[in-house]
Amino acid sequence: MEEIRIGVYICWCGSNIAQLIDVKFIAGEIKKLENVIISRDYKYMCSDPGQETLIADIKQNKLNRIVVAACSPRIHEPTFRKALEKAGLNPYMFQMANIREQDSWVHIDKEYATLKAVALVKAAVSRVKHHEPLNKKSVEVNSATMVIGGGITGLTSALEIAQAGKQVYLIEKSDSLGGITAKIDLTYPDLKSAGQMIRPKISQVQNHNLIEVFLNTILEDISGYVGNFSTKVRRNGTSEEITFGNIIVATGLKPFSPVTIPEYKYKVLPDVITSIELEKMLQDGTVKTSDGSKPDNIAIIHCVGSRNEQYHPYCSRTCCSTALKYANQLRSLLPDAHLFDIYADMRAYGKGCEEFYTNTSNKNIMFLMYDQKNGLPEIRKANSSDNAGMIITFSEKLSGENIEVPVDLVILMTAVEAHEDAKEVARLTGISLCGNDFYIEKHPKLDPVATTTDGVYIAGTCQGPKGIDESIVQAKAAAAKVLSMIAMGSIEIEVAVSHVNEEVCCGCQTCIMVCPYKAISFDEEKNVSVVNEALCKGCGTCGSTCPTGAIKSLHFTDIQILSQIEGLLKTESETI
Amino acid sequence: MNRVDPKFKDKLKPYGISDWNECFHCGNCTAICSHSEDSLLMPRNGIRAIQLGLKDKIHNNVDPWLCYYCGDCSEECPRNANPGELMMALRRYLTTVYDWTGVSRIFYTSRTVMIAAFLIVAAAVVGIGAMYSFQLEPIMEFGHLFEKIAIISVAAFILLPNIIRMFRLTLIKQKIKVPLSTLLSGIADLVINMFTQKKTLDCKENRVRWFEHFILVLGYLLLLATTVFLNWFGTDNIYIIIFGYVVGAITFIVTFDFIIRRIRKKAEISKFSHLSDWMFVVWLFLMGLSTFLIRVFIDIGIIQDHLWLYLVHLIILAQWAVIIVPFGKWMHFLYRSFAIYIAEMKKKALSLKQQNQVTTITA
Amino acid sequence: MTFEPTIVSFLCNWCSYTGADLAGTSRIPYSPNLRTIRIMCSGRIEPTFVMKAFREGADGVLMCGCHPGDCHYHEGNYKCLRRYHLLQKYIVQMGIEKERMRLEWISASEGKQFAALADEFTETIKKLGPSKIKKVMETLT
Repeated sequence: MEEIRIGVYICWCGSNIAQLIDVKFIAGEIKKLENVIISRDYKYMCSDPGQETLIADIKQNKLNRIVVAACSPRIHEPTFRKALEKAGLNPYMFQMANIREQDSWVHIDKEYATLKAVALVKAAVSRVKHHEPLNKKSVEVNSATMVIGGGITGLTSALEIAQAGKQVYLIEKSDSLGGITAKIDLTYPDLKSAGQMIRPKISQVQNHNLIEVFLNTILEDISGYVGNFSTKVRRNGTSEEITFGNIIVATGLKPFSPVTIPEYKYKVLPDVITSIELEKMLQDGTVKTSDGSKPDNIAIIHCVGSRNEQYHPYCSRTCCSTALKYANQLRSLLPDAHLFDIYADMRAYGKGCEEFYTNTSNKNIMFLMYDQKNGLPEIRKANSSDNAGMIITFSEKLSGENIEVPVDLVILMTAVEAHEDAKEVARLTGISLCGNDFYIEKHPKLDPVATTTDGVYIAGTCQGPKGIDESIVQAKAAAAKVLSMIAMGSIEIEVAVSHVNEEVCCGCQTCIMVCPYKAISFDEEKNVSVVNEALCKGCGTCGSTCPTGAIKSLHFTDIQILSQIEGLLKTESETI
Repeated sequence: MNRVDPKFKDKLKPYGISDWNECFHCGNCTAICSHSEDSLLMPRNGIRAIQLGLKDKIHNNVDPWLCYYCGDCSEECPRNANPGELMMALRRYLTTVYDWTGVSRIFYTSRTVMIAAFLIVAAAVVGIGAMYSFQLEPIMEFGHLFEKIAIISVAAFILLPNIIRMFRLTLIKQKIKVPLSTLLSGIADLVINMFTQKKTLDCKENRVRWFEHFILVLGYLLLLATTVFLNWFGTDNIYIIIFGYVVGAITFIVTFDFIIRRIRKKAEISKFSHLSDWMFVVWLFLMGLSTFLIRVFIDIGIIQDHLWLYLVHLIILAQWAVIIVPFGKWMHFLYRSFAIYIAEMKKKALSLKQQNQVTTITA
Repeated sequence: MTFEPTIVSFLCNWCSYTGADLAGTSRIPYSPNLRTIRIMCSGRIEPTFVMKAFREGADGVLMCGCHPGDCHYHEGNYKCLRRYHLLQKYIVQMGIEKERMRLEWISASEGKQFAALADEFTETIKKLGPSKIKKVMETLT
């Protein structure tokens, strides 16, 4: 066996790590360990000079194992693996120690943080000794794509991909395309018709020979992996199977139902309506109260279900600008009506929206501010002497007064929620949800439409509340990701899968029972379990179940983890 | 509970408010204001009350009178909402609120009526002149009598009832109980403030303006006293004559400077002039000048040949006495000082109440 | 000198490790006694790993996986839960207090909860004092 020669690099991450952790001390301690040939600290290991140092060291000193102590491996493990490859080393001969997210950023005491970092690096060093080279596997990418959701985002993605000459399967649960965009009258801040925008898109999609639209369709199951997915879809009672290489999830949003907010008396008072209900009226061209009369006083209440721990803690982002849009539309429809805009904070963000706010504020609209901390505005039925249908009472923040607003019609700017199917789609596609049932992106800034599951992308409001413009940006970004994947033709897939040592396997088949992917079959002839590497996703559950230790979870083998534990706990000699 | 009133801001437009909508409540105006204290209307809170149409809040507060229009707030305002002028407009509006007759509201909101009233008064004076066949002596006698009657009746029927109304709105209706001893103890300050406007000095960089205003008030009041009670036009006492010249000159010279400033529009305070502001300052100037000239004409013995001068003077005087004083800007002389008094009383009542609460708790 | 325990934590790559990273990016401080080993799924945690940790001198072992129903590999966390219950009985037989081992679900968005868990578990172990099992093992061998 060749001699083990380890190079260890402690990253400062500027001051992110170095200001709390004594990087020089760690480098010195690690240098004392057996098999460690080089132990250095460097300002930014992920930078080009940082990587070049690493590559040069590997070449000059014949290093065959590398440890980098820096940020989370979820961020830069791929970067350093590539650097190893460049230096001619197998990328799996590498281990990272997370001394930023899980050390310098969460601890306060310098001594303990440094001690912990030493332990983490020692663990990585003792683990990396047992690393084995793994060879990447390449699979062909099916050039078809499945898009889940037929709203503006799904339609845009589908068209982008189809226009590049690739097959798209567009899955929609309801009986029509267009989603929420088809239900709204005008867009903000330009006050242009949403219908004129969405209808041509729908017909383009329906008439495109590379887009197959599945309406009234539910996904039953998704199997496979990046480049080679297949799914069973059920349409009108019949099931069919389609295969594709990538998935774009664009399941969209669901408007929050304000029935749960007692103050607003939605469904109790007939003239308290939601924003979507107003859109219907605006599309029809008349805004009326429940008794058919013209409303003299109209209030728009913001943040209904948003930015409130009781309902949703997040900002729904589109409601402020939408409310301003309503103010404009109502002002032109009812020039003499009194309009009240009851907001918690005006968040008209985005291109042209602040100007839109300024213009709207000159249209004789009374802007009233409330603070959710001091309770929500309360709507009650008015007395006959009030000259209005309802009275809204609340503490107006800017005047500091408790005020009454007489109104005939109240529009609730309801929050944006994740679609009710989001959880089911997440389960089928193997992607994760954040606390609010929106999907989590792979990286909020660097990889905003990818997910932790390769080949599955997210776009539009299923990822978080956003307007049409931003949804389309994501739709096109996801389409671009898919197209670049298709253009590559083949991709390398995860090789950290399970492997059966047939000599040791006793044929008990316990592993077959626990495998969630049906990736293990039984060879009756040899009386051993066999792993299908294309189906195995490397969770390692079989490995920890195997009574004889015959199953090895590659890159997470028993010996690798056990020696990591050993390294972690070798603390006797450590003092500063 | 205050009911919002979207129409209220439109009602205020004739009083000079222009940009009420521009304000986004950054609070810079209140921060820079030398007079702002907690829970006052100055100036951001006042703007908000206008925006929401909180009529009662505006009627019940004397705060706009505590502003001397130094203009810092308007200079500081990032939205050019002119908070200083908004406060000024509130003062004009409150003048009409306190007026029990409702006449000032008509004058403030309609230029036509105001000008018509001026013309009618002028015509009446000419008519009276005709009644006396344009003889100087009887007309001058009538003028002298008119002055006295006007002062007594305006004070009795307009000034006093309006001040009582102001008290009712801002103290009595709010159920603020002020002990009699406290009420009495504040009177000395009230008088001092009325004649010195010393609170103006709290505003930064305001000494020259304060001095000008101070000697104008003094000059005007002394001129009034000299002509009405010392019979300046009829006296032979050399001291009284010289004294009259001095105070008369002060009145028209200072007002002339005020007029020039309003034309130049350099300082914030002179940028916006409502018709009532013009009338007040121009008529005060004309009064001072015409009085001065009459005495000159008397002294060089040509007044007999220039009856027209006295008639013009009488017209100005009558317009002043029956329009500007009871229903115009003149009232700010009283409202301002009484507002300081009322604000002081409110503060004292509040601290007494708090003391009582503390004592009941400790007891 | 106060007792500073050493705790080994096994965090699944998809939920709990990401959650711990989130505690970092959100700069939520917690006690520095936790030392993490990343595995792909809580289903990979072998009883041997836990025993090894105790043997090597860990005063506590924390295992975290995705919430039920959220497992990246569908049901690895259920497998872990089953093993956890059995293992708890086993460590008691070995003379290790069962409070020294914990299984909790931490999702990728629960950075705050992870930090709170780390603090709370560290407190529990501090109250228990140092684990005796390492000494016992040393005398046995």
